[in-house]
Amino acid sequence: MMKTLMRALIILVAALVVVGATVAAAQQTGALASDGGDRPQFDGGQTDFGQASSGAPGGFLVREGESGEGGWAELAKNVGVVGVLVVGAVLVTKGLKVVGRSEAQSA
Amino acid sequence: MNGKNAIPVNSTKTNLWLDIGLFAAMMLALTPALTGMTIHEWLGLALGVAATVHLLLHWQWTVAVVRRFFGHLAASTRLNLALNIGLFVNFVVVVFTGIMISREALPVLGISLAGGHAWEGIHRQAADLILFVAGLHVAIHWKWILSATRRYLVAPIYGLLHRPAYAAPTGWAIVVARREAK
Repeated sequence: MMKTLMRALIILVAALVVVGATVAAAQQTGALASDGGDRPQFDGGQTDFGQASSGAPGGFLVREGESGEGGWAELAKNVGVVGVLVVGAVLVTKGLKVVGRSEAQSA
Repeated sequence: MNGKNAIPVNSTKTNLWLDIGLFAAMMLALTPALTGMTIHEWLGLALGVAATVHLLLHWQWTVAVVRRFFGHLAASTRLNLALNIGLFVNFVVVVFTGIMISREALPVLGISLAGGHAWEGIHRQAADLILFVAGLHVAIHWKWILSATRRYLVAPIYGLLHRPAYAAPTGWAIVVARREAK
């Protein structure tokens, strides 16, 4: 139990180091200074998250919107991205094995 | 608590169920348009705890690989560790910036942070990136996922559906039956 707590503490310290580095990087680039603490407002389902700052409704892949609005399509897209990566990785691994085998046979 | 009396834990089974839960929760958390902001934020915070448990379950592997990182180690294992470190950093950034711009979860707890558009931008970009990095993480462990799913998910379901009408005699029952036949 004590050992697990110590390990969790190490993970927490590592996370805090990452947080510190993120804040330092954000301050160094001046992103936080020019921000002015202008928080987006949430008004019962309608949101201006992403629109006020960039004019785009959310990120490239992870988009925000009204709850339920195209949500299933977004979920399918996210799962699809992971699926494509898995299929790609499996094909690359198999391809490398085939290349390695043919090289060994020709040598 | 005596360690000898502890109930044995099937680590592969535990890992499989935790990982299935983590994957499903992450996919949902990355779809705020489906869940709405309240579930998105609470799910994100819960993912932070679940990811810590995931790391604790793989602690021994992590320590062993970190110790041998600059020594003799297979290239795939080194790549795996580098990807895992990247995923950890990415995950921490997503959760931290999410906390900074929280509009639902933290105010309920009575905490209000002065988040801004800069944190929003970082949160969004890091969330885009985590989809790819987590996807690669799944891809690298695909063989394990497939074999564990077959063993602990597909096989038990198949066994339930194709259960024999009678119990086949095994062990002592066979020995007794043979003696009686003689």
